Amino acid sequence: MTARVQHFELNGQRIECDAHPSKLVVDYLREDAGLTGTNIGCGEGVCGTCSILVDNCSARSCLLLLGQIEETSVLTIEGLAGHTLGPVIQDAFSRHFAAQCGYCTPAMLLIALEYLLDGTIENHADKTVIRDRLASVMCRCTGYQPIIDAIHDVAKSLALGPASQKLRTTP
Amino acid sequence: MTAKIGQSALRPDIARFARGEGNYVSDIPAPDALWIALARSSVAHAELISINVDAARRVPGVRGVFTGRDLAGTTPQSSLWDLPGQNHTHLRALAEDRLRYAGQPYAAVAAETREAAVQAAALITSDNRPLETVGSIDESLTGDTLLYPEWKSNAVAKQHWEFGDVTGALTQSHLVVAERFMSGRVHPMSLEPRSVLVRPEPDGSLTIWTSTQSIHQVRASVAECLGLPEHRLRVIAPDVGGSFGMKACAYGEETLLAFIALKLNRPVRWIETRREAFIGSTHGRDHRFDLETGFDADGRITAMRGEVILDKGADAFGVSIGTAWISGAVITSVYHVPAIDISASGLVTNKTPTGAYRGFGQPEAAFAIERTLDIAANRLGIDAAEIRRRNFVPSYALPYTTPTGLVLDSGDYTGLLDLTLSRFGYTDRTRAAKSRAMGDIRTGVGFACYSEVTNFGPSALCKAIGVANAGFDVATIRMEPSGHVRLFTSQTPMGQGIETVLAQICADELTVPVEDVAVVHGDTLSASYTGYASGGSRGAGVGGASAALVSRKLADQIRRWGALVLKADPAEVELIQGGVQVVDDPVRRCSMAAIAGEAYFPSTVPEGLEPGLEARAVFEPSSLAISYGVVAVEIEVDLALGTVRVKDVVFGHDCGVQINPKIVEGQIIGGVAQAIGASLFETIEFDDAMLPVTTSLHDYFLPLAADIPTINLVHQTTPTPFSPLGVKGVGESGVIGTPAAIANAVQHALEGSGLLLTLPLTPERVLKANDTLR
Repeated sequence: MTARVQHFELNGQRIECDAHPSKLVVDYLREDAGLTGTNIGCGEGVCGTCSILVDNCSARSCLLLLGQIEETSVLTIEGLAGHTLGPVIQDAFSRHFAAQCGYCTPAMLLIALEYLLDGTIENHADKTVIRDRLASVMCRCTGYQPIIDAIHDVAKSLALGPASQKLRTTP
Repeated sequence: MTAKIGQSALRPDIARFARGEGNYVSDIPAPDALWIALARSSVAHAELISINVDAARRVPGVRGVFTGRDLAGTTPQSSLWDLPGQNHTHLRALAEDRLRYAGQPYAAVAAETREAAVQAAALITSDNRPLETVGSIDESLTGDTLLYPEWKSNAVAKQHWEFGDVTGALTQSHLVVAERFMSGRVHPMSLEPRSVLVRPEPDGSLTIWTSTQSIHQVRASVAECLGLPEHRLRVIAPDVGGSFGMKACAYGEETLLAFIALKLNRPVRWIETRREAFIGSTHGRDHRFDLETGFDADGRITAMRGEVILDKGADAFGVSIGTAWISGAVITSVYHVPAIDISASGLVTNKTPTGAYRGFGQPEAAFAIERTLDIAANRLGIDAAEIRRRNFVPSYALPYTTPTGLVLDSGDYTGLLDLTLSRFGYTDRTRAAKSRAMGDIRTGVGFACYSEVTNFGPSALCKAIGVANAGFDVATIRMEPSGHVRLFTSQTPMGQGIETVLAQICADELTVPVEDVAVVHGDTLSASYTGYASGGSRGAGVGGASAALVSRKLADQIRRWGALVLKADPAEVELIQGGVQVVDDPVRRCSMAAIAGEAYFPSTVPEGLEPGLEARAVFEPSSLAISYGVVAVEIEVDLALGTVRVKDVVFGHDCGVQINPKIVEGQIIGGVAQAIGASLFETIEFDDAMLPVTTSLHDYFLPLAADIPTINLVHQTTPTPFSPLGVKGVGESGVIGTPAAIANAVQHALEGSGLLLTLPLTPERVLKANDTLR
């Protein structure tokens, strides 16, 4: 089998990758790229623990093949701090005790970023909307409440909405 | 940052998790490790005639294939609980002559890659002679088919409590409520599956990384099974991605991997798949509680007769019938019951073993007694709150020994009930619920009280109830020459934040900033032996107590070295604001660094002191602490679909002194969410051949963010007299009363319908109960 070189961006870095395009993205991240922050919960696309952002859209990296991320921009938890909103969300999670065992936390933070950047949402501080969006990742420890509070806190402090458009373009 | 007891010091590990720097077993690099994959039984019950491993051996990259025969020289795993007359299964990590549940491992492959190991394991086949399956408590009771023929029955063990004249009291009762309460089989479902990595070290010892809450139990188990000395075994629990009791016991995989690592002299690793987790990690609940409760005309309980039976599954390892034992022991909860006749037992069936799961028999008991009280209140025409008030053990009677021998230590049960219901708006909401019927939607309001056995447990009690391990906790502490502190604990963080709690306790006792305390945990190399690790809601109450005691010992040394530095009488100095100073003379003061400098680089050593600053302390709880609370919920039922939505929860509780209120809150809210799952959505199912049908999160429904309402807390603080800090446990509070509260509320919404007596309240069950109405 001849390896085909693929290109994509990973946490702001241009990557040339010769791993097989049928390799799961989560395995590539954890084994080849050494990025173990992305955790595997079910391996079947249900729990959302392995969520990453591909071109700002959340995706289950346990269902995604390397071939599918060619020429995309991938953000994992390790790259979150490099995003304008990253440290703000991280800080809010800490202050609100929005993690217990930490296993779903990377996914929750990335979902939070995706949510906060979503320009189609009228009021990012609406807890019902936050709850609905968070339903894509399972948490077994917190009961979700502190996570919702953390995201609500960030949304409120940023008074997001129109501003999210600007943030979207400022990586 | 100051972080006194009672302040919500931030958990530094959350910031680390939020950077993606969690360090779980599967994150530990081991590029040279062989991968282990297991061949698991695809039948529920059969004689294992032979195993064909030839095809597996031929897979490129395979370095070894192992079956039960290879483990024949090892010692079978023992049970942590060992009640008088208990039958033991004596199973090893791989099945030998019989397969007893679908999912039981019977062969293992070690290979250079995970793919090769999985591929080879899939090629392993067994020749079986099918046996009749035992699929339920009733089938198990008949004894027609025995899982362990040498037992002569399917019973693991039995416990019986008797007090007073139950028959007489029930005969003379105005009302007897006699029902069968079922708590279904659920999965604890930590999001991190179990995972084990074993590395043979150059000195001949073994290091075992495993996702566990009980490092010393794993070490003891591996040592016993493989005949290895404990000083050559090091067990490390790095970050644990959820546990909930499921990771409390030692598992066969830990022994198996240690065995293979020694055989092949290679590091080996295994990461449980989600499907394996469904069939190979212990399940929870699966209790049947037959309860007869007598009442006089005023609603006062006259007597209880009950039998709780646990469906133990195929193996009694780990906690044996412990959950049934506790279920029976706590059935009187916080109520005065004059006479009891309660038995608890566990029976084996051809299913995955059940084990510890958050709540440990208590949600099952609360479901029985709290549903009973609502049913009785309804039949007697007494308000549900009033019937409980009439039966509470009054505050003045505490400490109070229950008829099963537990000691209710402290609290104000009526006060907290009234406070919680008033905060919830119980009376108004109950009244309004009926008028809010819209189309097929009905609103229901209900509540339940609960008690939680915490600070497990006095060593003598452990022995008395058949727990092999003692319940004391040991902490050691060291102030380093720089004046900074390390606490060594055998408590294991698994998301509950115990390391922050312990750091706060030390910081508070030593008057230093919390950042100046590092807590070392999860490693048998540094932690003193503990029999029970983190479980039984004992982290803060028992582990915290030994942390406080050891800090006080260290504080005494610090004070005396400080007096030397200050040239003062030790009786005249005190620890204050991170240093030692002469009482009422803040000018004569020295820092911890100066004191540590003196203690480690002494010019003279005072009488009675030794150079250095180190201490060890043991806390042996003199009694359990019984936390208590009230869960009030409002729900909506859709009569067309049978679905239930929890709309609002007000949770009143008393866990004594709270060290870190945000952590307490997190424990409760997280517990309530798990209980909502177990009450409405989560159920492990088997088909007629006892093959598991829920082996994927596609089929097993964990509650999602949109399923959990906002949960508001009401706090009451009654310190327990049995822990030096007055702390009671809280880790299981959220799950205990919530199922009963939800069922009571749904029953309220379906007024006049059939009784809801089985959890979870699936749409089918709700519709069926409602059908009896029409």
